[in-house]
Amino acid sequence: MPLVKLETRKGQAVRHGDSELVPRARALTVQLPGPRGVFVWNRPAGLEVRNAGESYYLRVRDKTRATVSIMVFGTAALLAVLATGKRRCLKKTSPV
Amino acid sequence: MNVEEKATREETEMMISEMIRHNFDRFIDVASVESVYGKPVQKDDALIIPTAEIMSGMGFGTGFGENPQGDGGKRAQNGGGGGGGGRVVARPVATIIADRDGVRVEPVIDKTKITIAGLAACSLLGFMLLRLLRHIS
Repeated sequence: MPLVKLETRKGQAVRHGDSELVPRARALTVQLPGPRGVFVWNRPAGLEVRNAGESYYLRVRDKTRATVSIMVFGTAALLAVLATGKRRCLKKTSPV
Repeated sequence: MNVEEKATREETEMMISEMIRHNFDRFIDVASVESVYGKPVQKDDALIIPTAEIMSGMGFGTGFGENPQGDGGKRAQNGGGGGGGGRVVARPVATIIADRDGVRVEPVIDKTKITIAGLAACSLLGFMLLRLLRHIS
């Protein structure tokens, strides 16, 4: 088995009326050689909807993760701006 | 190390690696589609499928050693040990609803997590702003 594996798997189709729903999941597997350890991150990727010959894909979005990520990156960006501002202030005030 | 001790050690090593392999396989099974999509629930005309994110990890370590000199040169000593641990975390992500209007994905929003992240971000920013203001004044 490779060290790092990212794969999208299809699940069993579920029928509802005329529609057929095929779930898909994306899994990241990290396995240490040995075997010494394993890490698995499995999340729902989306849903393939087949209806009367037509098919479309619905993505499953993780809004909690998206919101927290925006907060983390926003805070990091603001902190970087503040740190740069502080450095500039110190340069201006320091005697030559 | 005599023949009997060697055989016992090999047996123990084999038993441990078999146990590790069994647990490994169980952890890797988490990567299946069935583990993130719940059983469909029929409610009136609607079909509801819950979805969750699963993170699991585990690690093992074993070691064997021997001291041919033994304790005070009387008898050879050998021993071994091992340890391991693991954790599985599951979190709801969204709910899939199929009804007369069609199929839609309703997200599950963890307000507690977002609030904690927001408070942490605000505290950090406030702390940095205060430090900056102190330097300016």
